[in-house]
Amino acid sequence: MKKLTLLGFICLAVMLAAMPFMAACAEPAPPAPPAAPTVITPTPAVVTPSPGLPPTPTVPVVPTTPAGPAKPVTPAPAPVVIAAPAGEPVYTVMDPRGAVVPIPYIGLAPRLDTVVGKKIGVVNMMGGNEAVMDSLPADIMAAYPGCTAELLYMKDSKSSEAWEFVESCDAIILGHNY
Amino acid sequence: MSIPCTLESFNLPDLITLAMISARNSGCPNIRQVACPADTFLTDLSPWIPDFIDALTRPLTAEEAADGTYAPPVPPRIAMTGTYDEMMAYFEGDLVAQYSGGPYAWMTDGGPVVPPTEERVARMLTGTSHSPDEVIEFSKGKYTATIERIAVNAVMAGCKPEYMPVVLSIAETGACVGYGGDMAKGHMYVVSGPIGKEIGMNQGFALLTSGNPANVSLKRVCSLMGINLGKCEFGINMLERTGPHSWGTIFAENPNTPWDTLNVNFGYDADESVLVYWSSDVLLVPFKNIYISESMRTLEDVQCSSPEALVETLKLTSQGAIALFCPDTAFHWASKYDCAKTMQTLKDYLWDNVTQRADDWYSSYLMVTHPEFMRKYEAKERGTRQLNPDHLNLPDDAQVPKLDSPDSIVIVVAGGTGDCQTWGPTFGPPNTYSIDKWR
Repeated sequence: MKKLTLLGFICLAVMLAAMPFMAACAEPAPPAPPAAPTVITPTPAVVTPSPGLPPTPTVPVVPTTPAGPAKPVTPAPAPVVIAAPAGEPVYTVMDPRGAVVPIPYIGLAPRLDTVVGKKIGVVNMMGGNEAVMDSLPADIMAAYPGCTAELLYMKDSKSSEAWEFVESCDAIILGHNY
Repeated sequence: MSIPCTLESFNLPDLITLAMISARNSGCPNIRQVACPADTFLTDLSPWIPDFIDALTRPLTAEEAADGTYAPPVPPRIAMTGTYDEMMAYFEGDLVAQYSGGPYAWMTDGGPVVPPTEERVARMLTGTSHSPDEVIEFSKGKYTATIERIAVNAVMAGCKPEYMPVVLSIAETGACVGYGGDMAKGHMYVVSGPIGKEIGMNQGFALLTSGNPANVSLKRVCSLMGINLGKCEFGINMLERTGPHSWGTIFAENPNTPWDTLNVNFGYDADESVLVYWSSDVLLVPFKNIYISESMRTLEDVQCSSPEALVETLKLTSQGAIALFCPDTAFHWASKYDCAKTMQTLKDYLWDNVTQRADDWYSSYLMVTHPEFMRKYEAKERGTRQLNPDHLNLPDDAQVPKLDSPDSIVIVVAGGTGDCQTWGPTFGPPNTYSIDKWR
């Protein structure tokens, strides 16, 4: 998740320092509540964040061969380092975030020891990318002789026909493609 | 029964994360993804077949095989202590750029916010009789927030305590959470009933733009609650290709109308305050009288439009529509056109006349790719004023209503003195929520 860095803070502190909105919002510094985190003096600018949500779990992504077109993530703007002015009001503020309802999850199904003699279902979930999905079963069977592969357009996941197809397969490739 | 499965994904960090979140919400966060080129028009996946086979045959790690529960801790009640700048830096966090956009702020809508001190939040909570510990669900029950956390967001947005019943009804709708796909999902809210006037909402001139504290701060809290409570993450699960001009349009209905007010139209009492909410694909087209169609001959035609012109306009939508009238224009229509004597006669007229050829309907994208639409119409009762089996299997050149029913069209009276009639497409009819229950 996104975490505070000192440089990022200082950059934004400078950008916001001149905003008249600040003055309009300012109110006398409240007395520090007993249980509040450490009160920070304005200079130098340091922030004591409370613990946030843990990082999102890393997704196990199968590496591609060959890799797709390299499109780098845009870098964050370079921070400007200027200390916040002294003597400003200090606020103890509440956290605006809500809670996540716990979600039970199941482990992955055991993998196949081989695809020879097995049926692989290729499921086009949303429609679209027909050219890719249509050709995939034949390409799989050409690359891995001995296995079969079939395509299903799963336009309606509640269709009994679609689930019968899934249950007839030994493994499934879901077409994301949307 | 369990079957090994893998997912074809685009090789983009945001889309891979979105897929993981979707899988996590479905109870399978560790699904293996094969990252294929991010090319919508790719025609050959054969170079990636070994990766698909590897994902289906490589033995699982202990982590992949394990059952569990995703349960991140509830964020702390107190966020931090610091100066205004320090607070803003904390709420914005690292400005993170995703593959396809950004950088985006963490807990704000990108603008400065009012410090949500305990004192301000306590004052905000005086705007409702409900307990601060009461819980409201967001995003179809995936997330929850106490009314106190909602009040924190209301403070940050600049709301006043008397706005709280409206804020809580917006929370009940789920607030603005955007859309993970290819729509510009601009949520829209119309406040009907006495609370609009009580809290000083703009229901007259320029109601869609800046200048009114209630409209502006309520619009902001729609976004802030979507981000902080509905867990909308721009660039991750909010991937609208362009996004709408306005993400949380909100204004008050003008009670100066010849027709039913919206609260009455939706079955509430005239003195009950109600939030009318469209969740998706709403963009109210700003009225500009320079857009003069060939059918318009006079200034009256240009400014007031006509039933025939509105019919032609509404043929541009396929699921629903808002037709907005300034009060003067509403009275003009009610006195001039028989079809506009009441709100219901006007809705009936529009439903009867906003039609399309049957073969165009049968071959439309939704009918072809989403069999549930066809089944929905097949299951309806014949002879009713909604799309039903009577409309199926007609000759190709037959005219078929384009919208589900007259209730797919919502007539709203709002705006300043003078004449104006405009419209916006919607994705189906709105939902309504009582505001008074949150007083």
